[in-house]
Amino acid sequence: MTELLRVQGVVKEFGLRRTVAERVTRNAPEPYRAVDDVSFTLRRGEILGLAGGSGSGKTTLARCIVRLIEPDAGTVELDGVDVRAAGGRELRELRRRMQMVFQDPYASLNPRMTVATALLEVGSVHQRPGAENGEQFVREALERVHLGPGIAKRRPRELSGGQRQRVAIARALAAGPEVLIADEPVSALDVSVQAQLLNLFGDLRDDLGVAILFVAHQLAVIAEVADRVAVMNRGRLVEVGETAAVFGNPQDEYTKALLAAHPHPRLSRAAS
Amino acid sequence: MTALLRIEGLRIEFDGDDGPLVAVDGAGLSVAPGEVVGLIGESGSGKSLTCRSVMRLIPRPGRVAAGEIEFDGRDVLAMSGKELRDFRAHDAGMIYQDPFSSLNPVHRIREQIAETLRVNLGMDKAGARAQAVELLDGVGIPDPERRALSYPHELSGGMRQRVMIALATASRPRLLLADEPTTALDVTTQAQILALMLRLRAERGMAVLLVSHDFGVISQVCDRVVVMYAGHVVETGPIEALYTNAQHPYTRALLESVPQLESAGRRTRRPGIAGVPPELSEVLPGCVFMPRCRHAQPGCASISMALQPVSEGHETACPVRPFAGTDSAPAARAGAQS
Repeated sequence: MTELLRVQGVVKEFGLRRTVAERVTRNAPEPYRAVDDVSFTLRRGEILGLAGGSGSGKTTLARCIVRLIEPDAGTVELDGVDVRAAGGRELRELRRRMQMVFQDPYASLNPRMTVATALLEVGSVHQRPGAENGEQFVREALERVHLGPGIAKRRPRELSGGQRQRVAIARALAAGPEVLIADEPVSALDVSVQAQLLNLFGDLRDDLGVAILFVAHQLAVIAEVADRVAVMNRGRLVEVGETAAVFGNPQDEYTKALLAAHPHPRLSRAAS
Repeated sequence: MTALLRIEGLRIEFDGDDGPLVAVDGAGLSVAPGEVVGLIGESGSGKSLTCRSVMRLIPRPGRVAAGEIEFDGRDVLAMSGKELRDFRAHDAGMIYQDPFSSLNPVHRIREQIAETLRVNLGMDKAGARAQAVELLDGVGIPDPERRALSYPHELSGGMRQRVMIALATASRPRLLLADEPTTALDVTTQAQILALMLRLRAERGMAVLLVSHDFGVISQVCDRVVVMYAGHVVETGPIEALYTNAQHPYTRALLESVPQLESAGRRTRRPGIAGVPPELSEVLPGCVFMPRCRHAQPGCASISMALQPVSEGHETACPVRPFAGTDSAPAARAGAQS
């Protein structure tokens, strides 16, 4: 498999407010390193899981890649094109090729737009082939996420949580991306719906060949969907490897702790 | 063993444009002293409402339209204002998913716990403050003297949940109602909070009703499980029985949907459950799960949702029993016996 996205030495620091003592002594606090020298690659047609506890920097890293947050250092290359150096038209094109899906589809879909309008907007903004034939464009976009055409006229509030997330994914795919960056895309869903969404992510990889960076805090979700996994702790990438290898034989202490704390749905009760 | 908490035929309604909307319909469960019972279901199943009804905390305009709630032989629904206050103060404690919104942001932790102790137990100010620090120590907060002076925003999510548990168990209640207590927490913190609840159970014989959507959490701490779907209890039984021998198609579908760490490296496809749960306004005759059930039969449209015994303590609302004698979800491979 060939490399598609290469992230190298990415750093993001956030300044902290000075405490009273620091203001008095005119000292500046050490900035907080949310992402600390992170490097990894995403290959064509693979799902890379990004795991870690809350505050480990998963989301910040995901946003740095598409420059929703501007990284302080490091390079991000999509298929050899430097993302950090791009601007204007070039950056817009790069962002078309790297689409994001967020945790809460209700917050990321415009409540006043019907599903069809939202999908068509993507088509016309990015001048996607086929967008001039609206009805068919929408139907195909919905088919990709296994939704019927009947949903096109509805607004987000008329959809279930699972349908909403599918629409959000359909909208991301309507731009024709090569990389999908999914930030906790199934965390807000019930398990029965979550299972179907995970199948869908697998289908997108297999059928469309999209590479997916799949951010999730639930290790079991990553185990089911990801080919490789990267584990983050305190802004650093502590372990990267094949999912089976990392979960079966973790090398890093933090990965071990995460796996040990995982609530196994089986009868291994701590006390009885 | 006589039940500490007994709920029977609970019906919770909200007003709708065309008559009442029934959110919980005929739900029943019981919790024995010192027992940890899990209440599991997906969003909208009525599990939180059922839990809150024990404290008479159903948000308006919702109301308990029918049913009985008995705590230690006393009728909770018939309690007067003072009795209810006493009940909430001494007999049952409650913790919620989001500890930040249950704590007062402008008061120090110590004062919030001390206030509870003064009001509920009639302690004096100095005594209550000292006791507050002790309680914080009891729920595993390091350096409790210093932490007691913190404001809620200065604590991490796990610490806040510990403070909530300290508050809810300050007057040594016999029942702790925990509504998704670990959903907002990291797995490592979650494991600590669950261990804390088990420790309190072991030390004080405190019973717990744990509401969760996560089978992983439920299986780690619960003795018995109650499964809810669309306002109905569809199956209940000892945790072992549910894992190895689930008899309701919904329970099984739910178990089969749970992602597993063991899948790492294997391409896994879980069926999930097709369709969506019924709206509150949709009143289905017969079995409420029938439209999504893979084992539905024509007769299902006219059955009652009453629970029928399977074995000792194990009951299901499905009379079809499509799985009689077969092993349950793959999760059961861990080698449990029923």
